[in-house]
Amino acid sequence: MILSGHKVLGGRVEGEALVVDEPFSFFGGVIPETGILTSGPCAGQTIRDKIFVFPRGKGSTLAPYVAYRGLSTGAGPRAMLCREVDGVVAMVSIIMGIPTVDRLTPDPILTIRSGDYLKVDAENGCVEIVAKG
Amino acid sequence: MILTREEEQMLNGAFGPGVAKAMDMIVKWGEVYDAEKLVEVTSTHTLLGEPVEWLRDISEGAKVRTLSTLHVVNFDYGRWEKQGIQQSEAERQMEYTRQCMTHYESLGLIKGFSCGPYLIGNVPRQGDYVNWSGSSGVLLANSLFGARCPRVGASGSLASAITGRAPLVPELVTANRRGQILVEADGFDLNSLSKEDIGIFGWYVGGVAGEKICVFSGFDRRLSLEEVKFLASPLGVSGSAIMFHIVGLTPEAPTLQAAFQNQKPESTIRVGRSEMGMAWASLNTAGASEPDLVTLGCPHLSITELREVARHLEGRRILDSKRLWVSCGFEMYNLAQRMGYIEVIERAGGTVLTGCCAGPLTPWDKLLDPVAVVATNSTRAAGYINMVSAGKVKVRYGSVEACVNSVVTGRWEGRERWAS
Repeated sequence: MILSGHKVLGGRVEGEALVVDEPFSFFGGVIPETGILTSGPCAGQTIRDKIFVFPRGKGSTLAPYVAYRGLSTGAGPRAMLCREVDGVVAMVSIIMGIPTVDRLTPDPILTIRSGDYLKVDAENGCVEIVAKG
Repeated sequence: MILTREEEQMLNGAFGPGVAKAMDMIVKWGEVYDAEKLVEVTSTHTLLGEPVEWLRDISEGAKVRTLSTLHVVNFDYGRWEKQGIQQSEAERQMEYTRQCMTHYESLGLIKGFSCGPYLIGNVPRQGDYVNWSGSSGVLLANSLFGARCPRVGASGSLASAITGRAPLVPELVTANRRGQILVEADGFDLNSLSKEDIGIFGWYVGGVAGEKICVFSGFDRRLSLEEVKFLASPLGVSGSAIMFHIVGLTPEAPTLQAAFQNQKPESTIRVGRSEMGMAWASLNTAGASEPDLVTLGCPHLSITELREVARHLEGRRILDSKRLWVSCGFEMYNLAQRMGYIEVIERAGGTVLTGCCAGPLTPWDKLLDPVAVVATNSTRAAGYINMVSAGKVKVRYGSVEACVNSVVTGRWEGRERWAS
């Protein structure tokens, strides 16, 4: 299955999806050095090397600086997929160089399940679900 | 996206590697929103907390092109012992800031260290494009001063400082600044609210409105700077809005019709006594426990507020078992010193903190003498303390008078207008 959307930051990657069904902040929502989520239904799971799927950003504008700490430890996600990015998630994507796509149809939150294997072509806003998890 | 010749040169490295890196961020940010062009930014306000090596790279060969003030640090670097911060934490933070300072100085960032840039001469004019970080400043820039300020991660504000540019993102365009939600009081008169009541009102509205643009009508008088600050500052904590309209005060909202750009509101939020009661209760997590510490100054106090605090402390003495933090910028401190307010507050046993955050960013878990209950007159501080301490520090919310009395007499005697 193919989802098509809008490029936030280009790049081609593939990997396993982790889907969080609520607005997310890199300030407080994750331990940046490990990628482990601190709250919500996926608390304790890691975004490290995942295709991280969440509806939208929320909270502090410090997020890009906090998220950046994950770069040196390699704990960041391989790509991000959102319904709609705000200027804070956009800057996280830019400062870390993480391929990111938003405005996908069909809705990525409803279509993609954690564990699905995805191919992301962010340059063309294209996401393929290669295998269901 | 159309770039001018100079902008192309910035991107291509003609102005040095730091400017090129900053311009690359600005362009990528613009591409996210399919911005047609960049606009010139006159004023920026930037947060500390940058990764040092990233800051070094983006500063290389660069000078800021805007009036660029720096935000607060986490505790008072000149009074950390008096404030009771653990030595190891104090030294760790101050060493990090020392490393950043070299780059701030080479860039030419103004060492304001205030969350109220508008109190230290960074005052935008109506129609200016600005790029501030720090949600309470952003709300005031857009809604009190009529400037146009986007919502962007902190790195975006520094990139604007260095390039003097921002992409023309949707929130800077007039049509997208239209009011979306009409806010009305139901069952009480808005004009009867104290500034702390206005804070509760703003806290409730932010939680319901989220990122939407609210229109407040029904204030018969022109609100003071302090009252607008109390209305605005919780909207970015319980919600994530970057602007709102006060009819008759916000430059873009001379009338109700203008606030909605002659369209109908998408919805209405009616705030009654029970909603005010719910908001009050959600902030007051300490129940009937007496506060150990009072913090006043979120956002940083104006000279009017410093006078109010001093008046309540004149000739009184804070109990040895209690603490009072009063937080402001260096400039207001100097002014308050000339006015005699600092002497009154310190003689009473209060600690005036400068250049730092005293609330949301305070390392509450790194105090030598832990605090169980904090009292404040700021819903922004109350909300943040409840959130970041994950319930370890409880909060009481009330007027300056109630807060000050609680550390002088040891008893909280707030007028709990909204308690049910």
